[in-house]
Amino acid sequence: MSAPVPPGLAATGISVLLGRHRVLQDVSLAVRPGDLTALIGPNGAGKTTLVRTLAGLLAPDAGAVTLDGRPVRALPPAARARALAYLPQAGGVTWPIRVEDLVALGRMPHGAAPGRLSPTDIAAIERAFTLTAIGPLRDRPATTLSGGERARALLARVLAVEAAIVLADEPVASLDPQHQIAVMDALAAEARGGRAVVAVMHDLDLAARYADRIVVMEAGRIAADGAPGAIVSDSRVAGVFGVTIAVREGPAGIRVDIARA
Amino acid sequence: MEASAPHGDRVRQQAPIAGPARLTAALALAVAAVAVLSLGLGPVRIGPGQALLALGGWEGGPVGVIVREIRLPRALLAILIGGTLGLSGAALQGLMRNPLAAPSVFGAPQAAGLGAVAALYFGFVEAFSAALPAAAIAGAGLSVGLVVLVAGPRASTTVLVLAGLAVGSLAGAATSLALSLSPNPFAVTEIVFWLLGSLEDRTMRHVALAAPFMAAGAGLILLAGRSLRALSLGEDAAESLGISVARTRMLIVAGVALCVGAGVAVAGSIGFIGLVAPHLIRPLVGHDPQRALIPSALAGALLLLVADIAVRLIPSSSEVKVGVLTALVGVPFFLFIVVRRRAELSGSPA
Repeated sequence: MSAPVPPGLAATGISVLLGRHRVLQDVSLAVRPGDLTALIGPNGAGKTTLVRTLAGLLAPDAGAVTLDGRPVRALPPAARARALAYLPQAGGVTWPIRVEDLVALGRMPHGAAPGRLSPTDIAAIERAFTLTAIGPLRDRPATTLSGGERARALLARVLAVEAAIVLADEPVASLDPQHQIAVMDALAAEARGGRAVVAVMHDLDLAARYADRIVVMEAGRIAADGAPGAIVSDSRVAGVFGVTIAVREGPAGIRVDIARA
Repeated sequence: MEASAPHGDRVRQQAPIAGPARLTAALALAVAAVAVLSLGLGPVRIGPGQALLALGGWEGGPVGVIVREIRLPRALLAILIGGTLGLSGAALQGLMRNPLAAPSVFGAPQAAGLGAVAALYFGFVEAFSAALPAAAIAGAGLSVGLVVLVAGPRASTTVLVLAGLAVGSLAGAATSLALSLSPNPFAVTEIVFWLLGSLEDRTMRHVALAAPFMAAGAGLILLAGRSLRALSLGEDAAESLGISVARTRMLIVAGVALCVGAGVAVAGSIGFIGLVAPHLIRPLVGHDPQRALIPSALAGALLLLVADIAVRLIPSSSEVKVGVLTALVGVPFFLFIVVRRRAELSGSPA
């Protein structure tokens, strides 16, 4: 490729085939430090595949995903794990381990293990507890948490990595409004702190309220990419979702009303 | 209910590590004590003190021979086989993220038995003695690898158990076929008895044959320990933490095959230790799949030692096979786990 590779995490012209199905086609996206980027689009648009490819879990069939110019999948696994934190979609915990040990798993790329934590590790875990407000649950077995508690505990595990780039696949799916706001507040705080945060979302209104940038995907391509104000008033975006979008300027920023087209 | 710990409570830096260390020490002591007890039990009763003297070579005559040449190999094999089965079960449960995973559930003993029977059938064993464990290891490796592959990364318990059942049945059927085609009926009886699993009449030669393979297998499994901890979060999250899931899978499949194959080659099929031992240990180590490994091995050794003592004490005309006893205890235990987890097992993938 002749074009210079941008710094940070960048996908350049990537295509991904899953089986015979082309899930991503010629997608280019560079994530910016300090931005909370919402990745939205209808089901099957390729959002999860894009995030997994960005995280280095999937190899693109064409194009490249680079971190500061180096292909992510060529990085030493521990170095990649320290730079890129990833929250899988609908993740769970298999064993009833304590919430605190679950969050401490985020320190694994730094060489930590439960019961062998450095002061830096402990500070990172405490910060993650504070951001997600699950400190009071630290001694609970992770399998006994409610859906909203579990989602925040898993997010805390991701935040404990203290990676420069945070990739979260549907962090607020199936959460009630109170927990949605708690999780989005935590992700926004991470972006304010200078990290690059990418969150796959379905709720256009929530995305418009929290994101610095919205990327709209449709059928494996990026259909629109820009600031929330511009994206929600873009008629193409309404077309992608098959809805009509009404935008109101409220005291708390942009509010979006969606109706059937 | 919110937990009682006040908000802002600091992360415990050291506390949890003391628990597993104490547990490991206590289990190791128990294994040593029961092993000494087992040296004394049998048709000729020998007190623990006298047994220890005989073990050290200070007791000659028939007592020395009984302890050193008949009962010591038996106790050592119980420790080695029980220990590697406990370790294998803990590793498989961690890898598959399923408390019902175990060598016997994966059909590994049957497949190892098939490998061993094939080696006997084709006369490889006369050619060189390591052929028997080698063939059994190959059989166990095929079955465990097949189940891990067929069940796939997001296997539900149902898929896992069905895949194991299918592989085990296939191996059992192939073994029966080999036996029915065998021209020598005496050899058939011999093989069937041996397949049932027993530690009776084993010698130090059997210990020497199995131990190196088991040591290698246990080493491979322990290398994967750290990865098992990350795998609690699922495969994608584990990969994102810098773990290679493919490498973990290879280490564990190879390690379990070495352990189970070597055990079956010298003692026949002894099942369900690998299912039961980790289940007893997990609550004691905070359900951490890495910390469960070594205590599960010790618990497995303890269980098999006790089972092997029990078959010597049960009054019967010929000794009850220890493999029969572990299955009689293990299968109800398996069903008990299923009943306890029925709600989640009948739902979406575990």
